Amino acid sequence: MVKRYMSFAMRKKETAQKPNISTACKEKQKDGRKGVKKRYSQSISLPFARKADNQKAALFFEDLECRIALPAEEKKALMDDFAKALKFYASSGLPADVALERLDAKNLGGFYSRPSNTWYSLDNAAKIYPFAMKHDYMSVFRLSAYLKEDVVPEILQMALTFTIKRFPSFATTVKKGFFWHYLDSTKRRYIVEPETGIPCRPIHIGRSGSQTFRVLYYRNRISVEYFHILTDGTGGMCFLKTLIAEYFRLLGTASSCGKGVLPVNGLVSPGEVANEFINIRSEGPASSFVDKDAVQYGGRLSRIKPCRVIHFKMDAAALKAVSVRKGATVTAYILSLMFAAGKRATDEIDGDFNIQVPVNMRKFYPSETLRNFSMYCGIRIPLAEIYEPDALIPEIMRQLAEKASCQAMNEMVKATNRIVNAIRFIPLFLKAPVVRLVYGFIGDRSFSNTLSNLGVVSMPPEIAGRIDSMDLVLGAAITNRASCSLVTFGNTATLSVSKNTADPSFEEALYELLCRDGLTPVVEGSELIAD
Amino acid sequence: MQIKITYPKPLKRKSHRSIIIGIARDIFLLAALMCAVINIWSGGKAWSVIVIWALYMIWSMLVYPDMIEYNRISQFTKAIVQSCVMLVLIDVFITSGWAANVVSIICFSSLIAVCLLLYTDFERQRHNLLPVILLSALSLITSAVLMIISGGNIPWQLPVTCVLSFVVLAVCIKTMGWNIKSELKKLFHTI
Repeated sequence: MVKRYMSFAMRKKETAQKPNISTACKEKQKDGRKGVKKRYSQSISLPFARKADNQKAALFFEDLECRIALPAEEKKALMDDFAKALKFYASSGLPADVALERLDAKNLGGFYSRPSNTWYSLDNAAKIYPFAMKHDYMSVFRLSAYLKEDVVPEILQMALTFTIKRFPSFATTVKKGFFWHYLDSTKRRYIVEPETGIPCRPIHIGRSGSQTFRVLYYRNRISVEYFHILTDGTGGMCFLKTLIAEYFRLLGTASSCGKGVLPVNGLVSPGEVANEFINIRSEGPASSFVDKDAVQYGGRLSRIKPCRVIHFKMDAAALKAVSVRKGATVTAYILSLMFAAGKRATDEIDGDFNIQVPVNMRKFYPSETLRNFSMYCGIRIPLAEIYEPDALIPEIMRQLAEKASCQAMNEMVKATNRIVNAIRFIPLFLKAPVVRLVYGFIGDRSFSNTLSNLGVVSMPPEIAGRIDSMDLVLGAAITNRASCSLVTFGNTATLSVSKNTADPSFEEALYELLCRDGLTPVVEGSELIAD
Repeated sequence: MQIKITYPKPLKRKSHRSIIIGIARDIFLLAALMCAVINIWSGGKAWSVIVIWALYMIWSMLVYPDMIEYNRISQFTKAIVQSCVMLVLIDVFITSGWAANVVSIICFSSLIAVCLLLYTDFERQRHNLLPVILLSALSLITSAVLMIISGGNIPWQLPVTCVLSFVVLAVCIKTMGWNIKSELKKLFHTI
């Protein structure tokens, strides 16, 4: 057991004492260990120019093979990933010893050599997501980081291979139990993919061992798209940060942990996979999920959702200064712009706009959980009262203070817990159609839009300078024509809009309002996908 | 407002699944409604129940398949259970007296098939034990009840199904191994 975790450097010393490490591997085979019957290590082409370096690499692969107990195809693919990374290092002129040390197989831990036996029940917020999903709709959100240089796919793949073990609740597949869905631990080769499709498209999670998230790269951008069943923005950001830190370590820039970066070889704390909702006492009043319908923006709903993603990148300090000048928080200021821009995006005269604002429960209940631990509130303003954004700020501030308070959130958690408790003993095949029907009626019609503000994201100083900006993209809503999100990294605040209609009125009005306040954002995004 | 494109041009989607599902849903609902109305109007045996169940089977297996646990064991057991329900409905509403025999033959042969599916790809399929457990438990209970009801005149299929179901359940328990408590908790957890 100790041997399994021994570092490569230590194993090199050991190799000197024991002339042939492959003998040890063969002995292990004789002991009946699964998954080492076929020797892939012999078929891997070694990339170094010097024979001595290639011999070290051969020993490295023989040792590596003993640590992977996956089905044959996956094992081969995983070893190929190592080979590709080594090839990249060799082509970059990195000495073999350094390259092999960076890819040290100890970073795999026991993840790929132990069978998967763990499982996680869904947290109370996640329980709705499997019921709500359809073939063309799934609650997916995406976190991206823009690096200052193009992404090296081979190294990103290795970073994911080493990082995933630190996030066991992410290394899972959604399964059906008799009463509830659950997350079943899945040992497989988790893959990174080049970005080709539209952002936040549904993830296929039906097959045995399917991934519940996807890691994508495009030019200088690394993105992770999560099925919301796994985590919320905070947990997702923690995974992305750790992945990026590991990526830079493999590129030679090691960073300290902290600021949301977890040590990839550290032990998993039980608190990281905890369902924190059940720790909130369920006595007292509970709120209701049913609210009257809100006015939706105009424009025909696109069939492909989101049909466009737009990022407004602006100076974070200027944004903060404008908000302070207007006597608002950044969230309240952006909300005021969204209300004003929304009014220009609809022909309705009566009714209310209601903007959903997710609230991080960790503010009230400090927790290290990486699972969902957020609720939401709705900021509602009648259309008739919406003219100038500045005039809306006092009302928005008042509603935020009241509706996003600890008490209001507790009431919502209690309502969630009560519903979950009420139906917990009903078999899944009976409750699924009923919950789907109810969710179909409620859906997102009580909201017009969403603003999810992840706040200021920081990274360890060693790697912060190698990242330009970050953004959050919310996946498709059902009837809402737009969903907004805000992330600040360094001095760049990125306001992202996911569009579900081709009508550009909302984002054009938003741009105009931002420019009027002197923020003049740089606008980036995807092409409009016409139906 | 100038938008700088920073995303790849999306590949043109070949599938128009949502449109097809929408059209199919309307056709299926119309067909089901028409069957029920015609059956009620013309009287006679309740054949429309069988047609509606067949429509549901086609819908859930082909048009709108499962999004979670779309694996060979789950889909196979689902098809078997739905087929058995269909046979029972035919027995009840059209011609009676044969379903118990036929269903029990289907049950024990499908139990053998499901074991083959499980053990020919054990590494992946061992995570799909719940459908096997439920199918064998259902077969065991049904065949045991039918044996009790039928008194002395027990057809050979029933004891065979009963024994085989028990064996498959035992195999599942053996497969779970020492971790059986955790496995059962996973499958039947309520929080």
